[in-house]
Amino acid sequence: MSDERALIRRCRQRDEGALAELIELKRQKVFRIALSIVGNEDDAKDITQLAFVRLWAAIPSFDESARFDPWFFRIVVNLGLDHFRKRRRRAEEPGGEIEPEPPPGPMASVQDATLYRADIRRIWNEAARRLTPPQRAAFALHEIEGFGTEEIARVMGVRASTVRNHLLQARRHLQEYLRRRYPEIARGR
Amino acid sequence: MTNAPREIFDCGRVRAFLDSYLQGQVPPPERRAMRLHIHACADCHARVVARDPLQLFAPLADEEREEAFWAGFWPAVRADIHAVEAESSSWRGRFLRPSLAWSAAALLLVAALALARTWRAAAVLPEAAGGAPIVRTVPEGWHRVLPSRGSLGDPAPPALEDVRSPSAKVLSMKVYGQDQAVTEVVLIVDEEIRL
Repeated sequence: MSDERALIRRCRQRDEGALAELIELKRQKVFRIALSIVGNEDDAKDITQLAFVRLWAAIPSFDESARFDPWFFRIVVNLGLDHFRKRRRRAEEPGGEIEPEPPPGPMASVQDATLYRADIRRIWNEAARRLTPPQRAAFALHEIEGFGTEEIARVMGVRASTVRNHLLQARRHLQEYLRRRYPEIARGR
Repeated sequence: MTNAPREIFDCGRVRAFLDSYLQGQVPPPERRAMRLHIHACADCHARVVARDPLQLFAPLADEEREEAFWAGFWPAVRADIHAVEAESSSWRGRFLRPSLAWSAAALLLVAALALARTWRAAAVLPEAAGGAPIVRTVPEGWHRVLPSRGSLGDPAPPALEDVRSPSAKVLSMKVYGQDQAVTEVVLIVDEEIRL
């Protein structure tokens, strides 16, 4: 696999092979971020695809001295937030769908990693419905992807204090949700 | 003690570094190794989640879709890219792009608004010396854009004001015409609009 900076340079020179390699390098993370924001696998796939199409169109304007990930993930987060807002607007229209809250299901054992992660994803999708789109994005980038507050601020195009506020609110809502719906998890099983 | 997926972190080391881990002070490679141990070890997992229930979501960072999931992804992206490039290189794509269409619509709207305001302002003018209002017909032809010096004072500077949408701005300015007609131009700009 080529060095990321070299791949970016080749993409700027319109080398499609470099884009294919960059996709290979970034697609899992892009998909995870999109999924954490929109909470739906099909929508997250569409956003991931569109993010790379937008990346290809915008990469000539990318400043190579800047960090690539915050610049690129800003495209992903904006697509995710736009999608989420449109979907919520549709749901608010008369006759729009409002999904009922699913009952809490049993969780797989922590040792069964794949099943366990699928359960956690399900719980996240339920819990994240209490969050605003920016709160979802901030929490997913910070607590799941490990981004720092300043970096999230650059990705989301807001101030670091706003990110900290989103994180605080998100943590409060999620803790409350876990305490109410999954008390055994909140107690540490 | 449960078997850990990585040798460098066992239950003892996880306990030793737990405070730093929860405060986000462990560097990314070690953090990942710790996380992999924590979420494969029932004891450590229970300890971590008891300290911070939201650590439940931490394993999502290691969630990866299998290769089969990505089958056809690159061809689909490439097809989209080629479609976008073909569209933008055709004359229809160049001249009928949504952004241009929206810009043209916005310009038309601004022009219509300006015209309507000009007519309204020009139709009723200040009272004449005798007290009777001077009513003129709608002026014909072009207006000057520059203010008539000394008659109406300096033109109002453009005013930028926030509107409800956090990214939208309204830029309004007044242009004074030859026969004291006032044209108000209002521009609404919203960079959040996706075209």
